[in-house]
Amino acid sequence: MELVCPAGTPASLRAALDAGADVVYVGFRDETNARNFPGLNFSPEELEESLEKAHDMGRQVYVAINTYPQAGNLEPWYRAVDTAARIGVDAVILADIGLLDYAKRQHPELRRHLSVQASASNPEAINFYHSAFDVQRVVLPRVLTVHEIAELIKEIDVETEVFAFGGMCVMAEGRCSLSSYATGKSPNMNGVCSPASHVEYEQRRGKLVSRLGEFTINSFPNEEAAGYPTLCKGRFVGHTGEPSYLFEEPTSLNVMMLLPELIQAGVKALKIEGRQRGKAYVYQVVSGYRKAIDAAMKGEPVPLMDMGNITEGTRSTAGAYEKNWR
Amino acid sequence: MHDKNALLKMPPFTPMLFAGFMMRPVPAFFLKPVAKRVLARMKKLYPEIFSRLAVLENTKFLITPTDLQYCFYLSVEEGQTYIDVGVNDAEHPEFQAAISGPMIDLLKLLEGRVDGDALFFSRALNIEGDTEAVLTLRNAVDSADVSLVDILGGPVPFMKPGFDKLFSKIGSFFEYLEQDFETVHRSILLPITRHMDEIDKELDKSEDRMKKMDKELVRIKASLRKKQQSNHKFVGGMQ
Ligand code: SF4
Repeated sequence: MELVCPAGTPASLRAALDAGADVVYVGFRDETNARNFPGLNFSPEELEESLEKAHDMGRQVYVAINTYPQAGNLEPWYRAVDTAARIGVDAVILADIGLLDYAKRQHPELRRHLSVQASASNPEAINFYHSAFDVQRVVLPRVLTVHEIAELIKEIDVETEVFAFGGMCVMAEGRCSLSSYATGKSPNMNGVCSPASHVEYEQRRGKLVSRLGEFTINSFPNEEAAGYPTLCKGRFVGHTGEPSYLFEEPTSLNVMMLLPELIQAGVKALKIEGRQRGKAYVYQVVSGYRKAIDAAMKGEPVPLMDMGNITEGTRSTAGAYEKNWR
Repeated sequence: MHDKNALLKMPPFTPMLFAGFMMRPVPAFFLKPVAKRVLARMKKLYPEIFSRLAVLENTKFLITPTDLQYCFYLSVEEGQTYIDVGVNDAEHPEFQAAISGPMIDLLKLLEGRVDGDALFFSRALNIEGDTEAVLTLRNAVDSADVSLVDILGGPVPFMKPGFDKLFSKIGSFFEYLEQDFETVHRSILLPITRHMDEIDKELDKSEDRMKKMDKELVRIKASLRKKQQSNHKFVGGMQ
């Protein structure tokens, strides 16, 4: 089982490697990267240095080029793929069909993974990506149960990577436009459900009031753990008249206790989300998961780590992986 | 932009608070050269931070350690970063983003020993104003392996091992002290915070009631207007 870890800066990449990541995934400092936030990400030179360090330690680096190219402006996306190939990264993570085609034609030897943004979650879609673009791995959306993943794996010829820890999304990724209504920016094009440019926090009578664009998303009383102002995790007034969480509470995904089942299902890699988080987060989560995977692989009980302080709302859930409704 | 809750400005009960009391006679004026020296040293040791900060055009931050009486004004102007020191209760120059929290947490954040979002989730850190600018600053600072020992250790390499040791001793002593203070803080403040929460709840209820009354008023006005209009129409129809 491969542990795939996030890094928004070279310092985070070093932290991930020190904590025991098998692979670190990163992105360029431009619009080709869904986490294109100011102050974050890698220049080609930083990527080159980081890759050398990772390879010296016998680890790997993947590059996410996971936004959709804009019509009439394909150049930055082609350039990103060319640069990744020139530097010699171990794989590129792509979502767009046109870009997958370009990468296959121009750099057939460059390993291609299908980003979660492509939202491929059934055998037909995955096998198509494999036969058309020789995709070697698919990152599955966070909407499948462990049982569904096991069944899916039996019907496909590519490796699977699943999200293990980080942001919790309640819909099919790559298909949600909630934040577009509030801010004009969508997670699919801008990589974030609560774009910082539209986020506002205010202290009001002992409460932390969070807003996204024009909308008040939440109001956290003193001492209550806070979360990001994401529309699907807001507290709204429904017909009961009292504000409550209508879709989902502020919480993070954590599937640590399901590791034995995921290994059993044949999952190839576990992905930690959070290239936008600090290196302290990266170190804490990666070391926790390193220990947990090592134990699970040896068939020992998984040591459950307390991730309370770094999770959103200081809570976590295994989300759809163990959903028992339907 | 401004804090509407005066009580929230109540400093956390930390060892720094006492350090702050002892430093009270030291005017901010004397701390300015120290802050400037620290910034100059950081620019030399960690140029990557400042190149990442350069994307911010003319942004001023107010950084307030809530348990000290000093605050820092950090500004990025045309690609250059500057720092100044002020006092908390003074009138602040204009700023676009504000960050506040206990000094020890701000220092841990500077060294990347704690995740900024985690501090925010647990309500130890407050941010207001331009959120994107705050995240840019956090990302930039986090991109380097900042070490206070290296910043303050100065250019004398043979002193570094001793300095490292001293610093880690002070660090662990401070952590113990912090935990003790936290316990005392809770036990003293619990009854007061409970009472405050009750008051807050009452205020919220009154606010809700006011809002409902407002809505009701708007509704009544609208229906009155409608009635008046239909009366006019009726009178008009009679002519
Ligand atoms: S807004 Fe919520 S449901 Fe939509 S993509 Fe973001 S996390 Fe998922």
